[in-house]
Amino acid sequence: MALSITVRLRDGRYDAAFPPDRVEWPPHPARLFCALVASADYDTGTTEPAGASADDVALRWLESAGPPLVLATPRSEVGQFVREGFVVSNKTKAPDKKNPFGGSTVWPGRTNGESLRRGALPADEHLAFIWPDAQADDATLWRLTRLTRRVPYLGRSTSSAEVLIHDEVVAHRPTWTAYRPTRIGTPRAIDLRVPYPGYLDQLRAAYDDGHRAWEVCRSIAYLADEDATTDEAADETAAAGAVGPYRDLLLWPIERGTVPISGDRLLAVTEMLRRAAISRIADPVPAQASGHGADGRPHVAFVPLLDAGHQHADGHLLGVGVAVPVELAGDDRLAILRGLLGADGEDPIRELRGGTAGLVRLGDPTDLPLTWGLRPDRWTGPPSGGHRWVSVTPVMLDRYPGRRDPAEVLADGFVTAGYPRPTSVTLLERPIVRGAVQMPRRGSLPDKRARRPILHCQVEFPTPVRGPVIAGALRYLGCGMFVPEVSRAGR
Amino acid sequence: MSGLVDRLISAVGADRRESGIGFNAVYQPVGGQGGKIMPPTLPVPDDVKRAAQRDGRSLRPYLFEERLIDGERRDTVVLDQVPSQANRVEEALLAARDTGRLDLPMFELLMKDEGIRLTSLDFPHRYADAYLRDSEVAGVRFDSSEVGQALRLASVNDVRPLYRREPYSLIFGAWDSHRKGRWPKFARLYSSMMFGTEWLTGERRAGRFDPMNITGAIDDKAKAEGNWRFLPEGTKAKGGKLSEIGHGHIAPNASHGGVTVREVRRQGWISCAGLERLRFGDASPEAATLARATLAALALAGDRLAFGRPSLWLRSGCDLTKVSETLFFEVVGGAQEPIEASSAEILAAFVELRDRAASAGIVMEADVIEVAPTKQLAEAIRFALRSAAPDAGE
Repeated sequence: MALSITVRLRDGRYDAAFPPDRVEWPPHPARLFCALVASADYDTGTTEPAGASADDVALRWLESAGPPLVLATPRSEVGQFVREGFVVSNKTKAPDKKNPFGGSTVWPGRTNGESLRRGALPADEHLAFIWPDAQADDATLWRLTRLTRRVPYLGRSTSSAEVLIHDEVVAHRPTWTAYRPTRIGTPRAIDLRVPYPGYLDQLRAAYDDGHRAWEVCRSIAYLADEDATTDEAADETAAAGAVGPYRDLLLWPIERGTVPISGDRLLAVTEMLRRAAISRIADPVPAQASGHGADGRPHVAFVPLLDAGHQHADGHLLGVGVAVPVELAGDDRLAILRGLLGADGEDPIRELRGGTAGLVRLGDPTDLPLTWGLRPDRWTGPPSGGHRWVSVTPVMLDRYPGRRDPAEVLADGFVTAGYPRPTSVTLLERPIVRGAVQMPRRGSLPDKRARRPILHCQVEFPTPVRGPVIAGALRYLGCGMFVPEVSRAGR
Repeated sequence: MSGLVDRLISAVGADRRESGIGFNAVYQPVGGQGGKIMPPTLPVPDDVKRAAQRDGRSLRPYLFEERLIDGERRDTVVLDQVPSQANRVEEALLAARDTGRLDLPMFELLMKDEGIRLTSLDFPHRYADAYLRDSEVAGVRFDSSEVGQALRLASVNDVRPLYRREPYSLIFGAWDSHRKGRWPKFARLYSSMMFGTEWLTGERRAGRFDPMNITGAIDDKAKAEGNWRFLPEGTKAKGGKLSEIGHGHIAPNASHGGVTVREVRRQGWISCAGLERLRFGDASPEAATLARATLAALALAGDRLAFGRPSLWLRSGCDLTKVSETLFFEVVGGAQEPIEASSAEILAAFVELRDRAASAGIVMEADVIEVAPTKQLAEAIRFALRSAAPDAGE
């Protein structure tokens, strides 16, 4: 048994954008789910416990059924359009000297504004979302049938749609390609927002609190079949060309609902993470994890994941990460991963205690990342690597520069840390990434450590480098962490 | 007629087969195919302007988009967008109400001295409009008035306040994006759009000929409505052009020249799924179904009033003759079942459904509530009327 939800775009058009400046194609599974939620019988003023209605039971089943396959026109065969129009704004205001042309010529005392609407024009107006292994019982299927019948449109209300449900895998149309979930970082993968267990509650809570649905969305990487087969060799070569001392980056989100931890407390939190990890790794603790007796080899690094690099970034800690080096014996790697995630991978570290940051609760590292800053590729860069990186936590020089140029000392520091020698290192007077930490909090530097200059910089490597990029003294506790520098268009 | 009433009830009922009511129409310019028509104009981005100047092309301030037509991807020129078509239906409903053909609830904002009349069917943001918010009902600020507070109670779970006083917000969509707090969004149930296929762009050179062949200059264009001074040719004074105050010649220059198209199409839609999604609080399921059918009938009636005519004048230079039209119920899978009903029968069906819904407990009013602008709004309106924005010119 399987479940398919088919959509016929009545006007052959899909008016939707995500993010707002990009046409959305294929339609995201989460958008379909939200349309079903909007169709459900739900009383915001109810005193019944949440999820009591039969519609909610069906929606909860669907959100737990995993990300679906999306069958739709390949992106290469989808036209895009931008529709412009002038709309009267909802402000009563007369034009004035400053803005004599802004007044509406039709509605007295009102102003006009331009409005842009983006949309997709696929070669085939049909598409399908398929859960091949889903086993819906009759009651659930009937409820979902009712919900789909009430969906008048997908995307904007101008793209009307007919949505139908089937308890089988619908026949594949020759005009379709299959978009399948894939690993993060897969070349040519695209992010689609998907439902996840708890999504319905998150949506309802967001609605009740006056937040938008996109604020609780989660994306996963999808790859179209047609993209998976093209030029794979070139991508592999590109990925193989990227160098870096770390192989894995494991990420833990910090649980929401607590007071945000300021980014300048990074050392307190990473030290707690380090201690928690070492206490869970079976003896003898590998030298590259403890840092004792592993001179000359890269250590396991405990790093902070900052909210940085976007318009509203405030630099708080979104989560913590552990970077595991490439050069690590198989047994040692296994011992370290077992310590971090539990013997069978089911018991990851969930709490950090005993530091000045108080108790820090961590989410499940296997959860789909809720935000960009918690995705591995935010910190590792694309699989093909990146040439230009910029610091988000300050770099402490490995040694006093004396009469040397600090940029040279920094360049040496990258080599020491296992990266190629940079072609250029540009010192920055202050961090240029929004949300970056200027300095660790006073008093948070470990005792007995020499105090050396702390700087921010941009760096360019001659060959593509795979992240995470961490350099300088205290790098194994997350000082000197970099993010790939990409143009806004490349995001 | 009762056939249509029953069909509308079943089309919004629990066991409906219908996806919605569709309208497909074909038009051509008055005078026959090949006549020039003027699409709506929109601002041209600066980079496109520069590219056109560089290549010596004339600007095309129109909206072109690809569409799937009969399964083929075709280039079309947009002649009327969805919000504009909704406004035309609202105009038609207002005209029908004003001439006594249809009883509908309405808010009316009057400024008699200024000759201003704005109604529910004019307010751009419908029930959530700033004109309403900045008005008073019997001396009480709208939001604090009884009717204003009732409208504020409209929610996705109970649309009865809107159905009662502002059904247009449900049919054409409304969202209160301006008041503080979170307010429900009501997506449009009715949408319609017009576009031309296989377009060719026209060229035009436009100038102005002064019959008196006035030449010379003026001292100051700001004095256009006062005592400007004429400066004959040869006067050694720095002046402005005569054309700036509406006299003298203007040399012909390039101007957007409209389009010719193979045919003009209109596609409209009333969504049964959207109607089914509307909830009516604790009203009985039968009453809710009748109310949904009433809204469908009102949308259908509005469409007929606006577009059931032999020709359609969209704007200056865009007068269209109807060639053919089909109204149909679309059933699952896309099959079309034609609706054979005249406009009068559709209006009668609306009245019957509205009355039956009222008997079942969901009432749509038919009276007018007068609102008066607040002092500030009245001032803004008077100011806008006195100093209308300068014409951007051609």
